[in-house]
Amino acid sequence: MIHPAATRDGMFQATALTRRKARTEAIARSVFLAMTLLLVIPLILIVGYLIYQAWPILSLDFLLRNPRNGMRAGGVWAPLLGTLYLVVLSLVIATPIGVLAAVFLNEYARESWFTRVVNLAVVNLAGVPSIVHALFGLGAFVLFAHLGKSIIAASLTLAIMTLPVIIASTKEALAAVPIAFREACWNVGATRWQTIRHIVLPNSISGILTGVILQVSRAAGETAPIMFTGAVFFKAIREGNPFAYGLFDQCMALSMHLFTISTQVPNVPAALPYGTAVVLLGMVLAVNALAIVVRVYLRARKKW
Amino acid sequence: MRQPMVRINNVRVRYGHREALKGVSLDVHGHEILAIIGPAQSGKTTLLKTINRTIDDVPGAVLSGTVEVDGENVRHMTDVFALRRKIGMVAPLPVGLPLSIFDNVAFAPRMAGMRKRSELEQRVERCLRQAALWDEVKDRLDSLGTRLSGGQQQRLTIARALSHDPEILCLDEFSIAVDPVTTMRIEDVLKELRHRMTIILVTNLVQQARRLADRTAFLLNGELVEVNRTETVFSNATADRRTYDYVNGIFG
Amino acid sequence: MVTRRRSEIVAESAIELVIRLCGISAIVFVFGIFFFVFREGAGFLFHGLNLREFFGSIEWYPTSESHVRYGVLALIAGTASVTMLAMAIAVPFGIGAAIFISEFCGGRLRETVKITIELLAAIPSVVWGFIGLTVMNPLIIRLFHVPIGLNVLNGGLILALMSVPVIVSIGEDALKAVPDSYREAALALGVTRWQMVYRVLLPAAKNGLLAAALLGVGRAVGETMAVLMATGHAVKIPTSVMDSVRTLTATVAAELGEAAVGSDHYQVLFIIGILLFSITFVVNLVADLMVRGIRAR
Repeated sequence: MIHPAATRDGMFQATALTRRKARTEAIARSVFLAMTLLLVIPLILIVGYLIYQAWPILSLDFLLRNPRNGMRAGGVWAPLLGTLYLVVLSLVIATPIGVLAAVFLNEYARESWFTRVVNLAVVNLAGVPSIVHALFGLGAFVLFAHLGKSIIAASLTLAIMTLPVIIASTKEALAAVPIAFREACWNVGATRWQTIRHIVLPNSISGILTGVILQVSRAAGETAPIMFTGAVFFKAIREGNPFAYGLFDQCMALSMHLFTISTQVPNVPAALPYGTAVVLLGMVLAVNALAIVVRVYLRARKKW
Repeated sequence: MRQPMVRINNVRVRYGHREALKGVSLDVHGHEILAIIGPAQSGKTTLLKTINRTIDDVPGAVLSGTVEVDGENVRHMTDVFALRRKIGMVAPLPVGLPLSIFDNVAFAPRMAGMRKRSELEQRVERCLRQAALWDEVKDRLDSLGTRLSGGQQQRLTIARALSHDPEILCLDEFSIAVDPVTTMRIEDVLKELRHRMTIILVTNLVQQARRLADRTAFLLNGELVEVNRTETVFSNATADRRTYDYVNGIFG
Repeated sequence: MVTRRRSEIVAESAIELVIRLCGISAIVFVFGIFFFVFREGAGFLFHGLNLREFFGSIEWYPTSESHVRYGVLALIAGTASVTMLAMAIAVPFGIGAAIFISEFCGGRLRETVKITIELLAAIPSVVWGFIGLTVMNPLIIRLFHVPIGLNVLNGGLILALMSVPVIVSIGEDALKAVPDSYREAALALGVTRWQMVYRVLLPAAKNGLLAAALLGVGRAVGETMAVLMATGHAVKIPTSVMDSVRTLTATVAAELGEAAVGSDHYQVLFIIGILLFSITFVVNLVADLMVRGIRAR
């Protein structure tokens, strides 16, 4: 039954107080929206500007040709290939270790001071500055392990850098699998590893994959860790040959190349560094977009 | 007299500071249906976990006393997985594993080493029939187990529990999340199965114990108050006053 | 009676061993990093480095013929100034964005903003440095009428944009952790959403928001390439945001290539590495302890 007062005029009419409140509300919302936009808009403007400046030089040729003429002309083939090598190798090393470490932390380890220490180590590893990773790589892989400045030393350095995020995102993916599934498996006599291998891991793939893909863009973009462990200023390799680098060779890399031609080489035509930046940025953003797509697609195919 | 199938001797279980079981001793005879009744937090689930040693996986659980299955102390068994295969366990909430229905029931035999497709198919069909689920799913064994209804998933869980040929079947309040019709069907299943195996039925439905069990045990606050033939437990000649009160709804 | 193949059982034990080894790998690597960086710099650290000069002097002349000095005070000031400016911008904006996403924003818009911030996080630091060099530099020169645009302001702005995603992400987690019952209770009393945020949510989430800010600081202090390219090359204590500076990280990156392996200069650079490692270790430790508090609730 409707209360008569509700329909009487004036009961729910706006008073001065409610009007003022609504205004404050709207102002607050606008302020926060503005703050967010102020972060987002510069990004769009900057990316747009970079593409605009790089436009004259962007082409398939740019990707497939080596830098020439003291890097004042030509393309980015050698750096691009080098980056691909580094990324693939570092992820091939980091992913199994990271995934299994997360499996240990989430599935085997009992909550204790030990697991707290390990978790702390993961967090701290994540916070190590990239230049310190470079120093470590130099001291440990280049010098101590006598690998010399090489793709393998640089990849190992990058692997350790990307490890903590792979561990963290895998842990999250594993934890999302309901414990009821594990208990059901244990009740029928399955061992811990059998449960992990047949139920837990297959249902964590989306989270693991997302974490790994995101680290691709990180590995591709970092400069300092590879600068002293394997990346070089210039190296001549054959164009168009995907196997041009050897494991113990030094290599060029997109990130390093961008740094070099924008700070170390004089008289570089303007479009060239912009072009390099756009290729690097494009690669990184494309990979991130892929991660988002994978995440959405696999979430839709969830099995429970 | 034949050795009891399960002998629980003075078992105490503590979770941190809380004592869940305070020295429970109980025998379960072969091929009987033993019901365990009692209000919430009495330790009924904990008791089941000590039998198949899933108590090992509960963090912070401290155990004393012995549990013997078929004469062997479960704590001294090296192959805990073989023990768990001897015991079928059905949890309160229905769980369909995120696998096909076929793979759900074939899971345990596969993990135990069964490989031949024909053997697996035989085993799956037999268990699904025993669990009264075969007719409903026989045409869609490939579909996901998690997409079945609650009642179907509980029967799927029973099929899974039967798939490793257990000698003892433990059910922990299986009807909690399941409709009355399915409950009736599963009760019929249990009446069939008792000829083949020993059944321990933890239930909060006192009348269910009355319908199914040969003997009934009453657990209250971690203590075994009484265990007796079911007719006795439901009569006014119970050994303990509290049993009478609980069974007749005076508390609980 | 079906049994598992012996080979399967052995393989399982093997893989469980590997899992345990991988599990402790994080500890091994953290210690490893500290050990190997320490190792390269230890010689000079214990036999020759004047610690008072190191921490107290602004004179950084590692390559001088006659007047070698290893004072990092100016470098520390460089790191501090850029970081502080970056945080002064990033913390309010980041938390503002976190509040917007968490409280004032619905479905579609929220997803879009979150994705954009994620993409902001993906931009490599060398690209940010490049932006500082080619976009910010001329802009600052033109707007402020100064001769050089590579300075604290440039570096600070770039670092702010780089640190924002971390602050937004952790800040959002902190706000999400505040129970809805707080919000509902406040709104039921008739307050506006803004009042609810200001008087109820922010105080309730302050631990997590502080942690978010700390993690932003950690990110800023550790950043290398962007500041190398955007802050200029002057080793001095800045007196205004228009001054060029050098950070600890940039110094190592810029000079390591030229320092002969094993030389004093080389070792000092590693010692700076130890200093950086220690600073970020402490910052991240504190922040993590606070974040652990939210997630556990």
